[in-house]
Amino acid sequence: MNNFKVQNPRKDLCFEIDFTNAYRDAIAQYTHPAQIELACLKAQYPAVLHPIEDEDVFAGRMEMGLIGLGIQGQTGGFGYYINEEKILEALENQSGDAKYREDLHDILTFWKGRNTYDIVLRNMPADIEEALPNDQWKVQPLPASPIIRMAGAFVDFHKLVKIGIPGMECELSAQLEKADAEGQDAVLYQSMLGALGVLKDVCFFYRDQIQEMARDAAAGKRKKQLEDLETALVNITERAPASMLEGLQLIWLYGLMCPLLQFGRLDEHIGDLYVHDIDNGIITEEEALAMVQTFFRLVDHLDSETDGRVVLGGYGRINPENADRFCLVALEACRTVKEILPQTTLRFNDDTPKEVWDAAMRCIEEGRTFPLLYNDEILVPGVMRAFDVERQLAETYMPLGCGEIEFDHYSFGSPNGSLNALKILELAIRGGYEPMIGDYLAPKVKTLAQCETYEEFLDTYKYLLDYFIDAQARFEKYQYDITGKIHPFMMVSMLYDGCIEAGKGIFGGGCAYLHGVLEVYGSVNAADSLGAIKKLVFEEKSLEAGDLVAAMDNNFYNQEALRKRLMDCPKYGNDIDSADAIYVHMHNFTCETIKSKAAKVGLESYLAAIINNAQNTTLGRWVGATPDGRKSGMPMANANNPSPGNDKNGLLAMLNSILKPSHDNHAGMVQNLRLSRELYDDSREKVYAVIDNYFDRGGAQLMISVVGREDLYNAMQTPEDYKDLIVRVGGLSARFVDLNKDVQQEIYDRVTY
Amino acid sequence: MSHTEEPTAMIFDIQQFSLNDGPGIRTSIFFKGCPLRCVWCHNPESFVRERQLYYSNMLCTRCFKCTEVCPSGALTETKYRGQTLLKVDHDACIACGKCETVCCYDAVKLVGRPYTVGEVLAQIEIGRPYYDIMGERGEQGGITLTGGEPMMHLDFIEALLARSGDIHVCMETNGYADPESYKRIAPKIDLFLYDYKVTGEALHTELCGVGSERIRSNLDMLYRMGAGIILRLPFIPGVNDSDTHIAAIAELMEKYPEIKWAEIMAYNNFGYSKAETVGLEDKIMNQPSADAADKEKWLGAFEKYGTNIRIG
Repeated sequence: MNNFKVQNPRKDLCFEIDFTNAYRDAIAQYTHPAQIELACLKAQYPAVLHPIEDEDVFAGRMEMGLIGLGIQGQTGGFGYYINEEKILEALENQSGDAKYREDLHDILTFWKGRNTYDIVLRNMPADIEEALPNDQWKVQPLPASPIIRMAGAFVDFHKLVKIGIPGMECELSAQLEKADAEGQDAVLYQSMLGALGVLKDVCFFYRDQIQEMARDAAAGKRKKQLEDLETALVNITERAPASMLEGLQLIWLYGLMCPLLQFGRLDEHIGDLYVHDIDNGIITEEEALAMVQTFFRLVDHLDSETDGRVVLGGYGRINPENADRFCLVALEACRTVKEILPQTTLRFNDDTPKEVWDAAMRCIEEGRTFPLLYNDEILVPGVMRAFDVERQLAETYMPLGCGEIEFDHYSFGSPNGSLNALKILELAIRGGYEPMIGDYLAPKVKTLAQCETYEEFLDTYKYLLDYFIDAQARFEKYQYDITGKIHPFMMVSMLYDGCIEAGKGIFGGGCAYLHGVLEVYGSVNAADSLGAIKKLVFEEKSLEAGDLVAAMDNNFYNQEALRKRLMDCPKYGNDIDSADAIYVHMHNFTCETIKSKAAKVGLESYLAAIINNAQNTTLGRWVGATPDGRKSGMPMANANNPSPGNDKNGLLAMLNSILKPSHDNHAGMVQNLRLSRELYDDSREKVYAVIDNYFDRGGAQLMISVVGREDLYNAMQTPEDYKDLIVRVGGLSARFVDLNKDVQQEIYDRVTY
Repeated sequence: MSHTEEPTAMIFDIQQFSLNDGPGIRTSIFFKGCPLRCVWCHNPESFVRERQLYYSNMLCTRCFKCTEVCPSGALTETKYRGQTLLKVDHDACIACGKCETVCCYDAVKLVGRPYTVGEVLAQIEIGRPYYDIMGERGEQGGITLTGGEPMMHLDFIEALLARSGDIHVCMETNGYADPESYKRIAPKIDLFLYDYKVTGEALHTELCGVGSERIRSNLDMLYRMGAGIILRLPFIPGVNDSDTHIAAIAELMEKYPEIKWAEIMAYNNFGYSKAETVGLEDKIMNQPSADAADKEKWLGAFEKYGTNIRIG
């Protein structure tokens, strides 16, 4: 649950009570989901909106309720949602009169079974439920888990900015007329027009607030800003945006109503207005920057931890020249707004202007971790092959969230499942049995001890992977279907290609390209474990399967020598062909298997995502000791990176290894690089040469963290979390955690920020 | 060594992405064994040729598994003020390697092991995509033979270079090996990173364990052979950075104008903590690392000579 960054959070649950009653009234009055949704939008906006803050150049702070309407889950919740835990807390802690307390109980019981999350889970077909019994991955040892949400809406803000609210109203009215004339379902169009009406109300809501603030403000810069904003807010209700301020304001308010967590190609949306305003002397560069900084701060205030993608650069933009000019402003905002969000993302290619690349490198060097770097030269062809689409569509690829790929305002590929490849290997070793629950968590198969060859065991593992992947694919389609019946998500649908023409909500048949994504975790550790099994159990025959499993059962207690032998087997990330080949083989198997399910379940495509977030830790918690030498519960490797500490051959070997998996059979893979600021300072050219070389040799993506003082301090406290951090010492690049404490201290002392 | 056996050499590290051991991006190969005993050495684990015990107090989790398998008493449990501690006796170690097989935290191991030429080549290949990428900027990368003193492993190095293909080769050397050896290997070395450490025989012996005459004569010989040379100058504040030393360096650089440049290696006390891990803390000095003021002072002192010198 987010902690929206607003100055005065609400102190009671009156909004939640009002929303619930509005929903109650709506379902009594209407049956069409669009009408119900419209009633909820009216109840939610502007009720959840907060006043503009002193540093904001335009308006739009929000605090979603503990109950409400959302889409992704990370902002508020998914669909008609309730945060039961927090409501219970309120029940236990809050005062208020008897009616208020009755109402708190009411909303708790009303939404039980009626909220979208419960509906999705309770209606799950039995065959899917057998493989995916629940989504409690935080507390259960699950081999695979459904994720209840719709993540990754990238709406067509370029269109919105070009035609504005009135343009959209025109389009909808025309469709409405047509529907009436032809006896089609007109209710959706009517409700969409109603939703735009709510958006206008939101504009007036802020206009009223800002009018008052402007009146009370002392003469000067801020007063002028507020007055301009007041005008802008009225203008965008009457015509298409004609200035950068109007464009950003409209985008932002529209986005709040979705509510959006991905903001798309901001350079494409705003580039034309920015260039117009600058070239005509309407605004200064400083003012333009202030607007983008506000935008970035507002993205951050949603506090969603992940997502918040602002995508810059790359092929396929309608207005590349203007967009590139805007890129520089956006990168400067990235450099100066030092928050966790937005996740500024730079798609680069051979045409990327040097200034844009240099600005990006500057951000990274200063320790921002952004922008995330995406190499179009590799990814566009890769996406063409993975998704089986033409180049023109592939050029609109957008990384969402933690790295999954969709096509801008055309496709929706919510990552609604997570696969724990390491847990599944653990189960394969024990024939499907899970000691943590004392029962089978997978179909019964031969145990490792019962397999006579490595290939036989590998086939067992693959069989189980396929079993869970298959269930996940079916779940993905099921979740789209059931969501589509309840939620037209009008604000999103209106700006997704094809929905208005089709007269259908995005998940109700309106989306032009509906696909799915499966998040895969633990595959590096799984490959390393397979390597150890292959070598010691089957090739050298120096380890009995039974002894291995017994040691795993007991978390290597008093089995240090055995554990060390497992740890010393070749690992992915050291540019050793035997280890890397296993990883690449399993990568291809997993990706191809996932891909093959699309046709079966009726999706345009279904692809793997191997991405970077905290799941490697959260899911690793319930995986026991594994044959790569990893101890029970310890974090798994992250995304496409080697297990920290297992890359013993240094940075270059690691880069060589991570270049081996292909990029043409999945929907996103992430690689991290963590370097010290000092290394950068002393050897900048060489570091850049290595990064360039990585991309030239087929590197698709890179997230570079240049760490400063705080990380060095943390690395000294918990070295096991920083095994991958590389610093410069005595003319060499060395792993920070390998150095003695006083050397670490000295390096820390030398870093000034 | 029979000609049917593959040659091996005792190597204690191979570092990829070496940025300050020659131009460009390099792979540095650290050979074990050195005839000198410089008191400021920051690789004291390279002094002796044989494998030796390394123990990191920082990484040790006090599981004591190593004490259960150590046959020689090098690693034992000991009680001190109610605590159970690990006691390390480096002299007792017989380098059997049993401790390494049970330590899962990289806290105890043997430094150095015999590498075959094939194994070293495999490591060199890892860096192969990177050696040329700084070439356009005038910095050709490749491999650096260092250590310790690589000249103690000449047969192996010759075998290695015979199979390493087209690659730029640097050698860091203290210049103390016999002249015939340098003559033999010089044609295969693109660039020598040649140490000049101390001026004055007595002081040189005191600080490095050997005299400097042969070092200076080898430098002369290599220079006259046309070898590529960068002069490497460890500077330790208050220990060897006298005016005499500075003047002597300036004189050398004047005498040998084809030397590319001279590099000051400013002292850092990185070596002392490494010395502790191999039980050599008595042999290595420990004083604060050189700071910016020291470096400025040194560069300033060379100004009047116009020496082509920089901080390495």
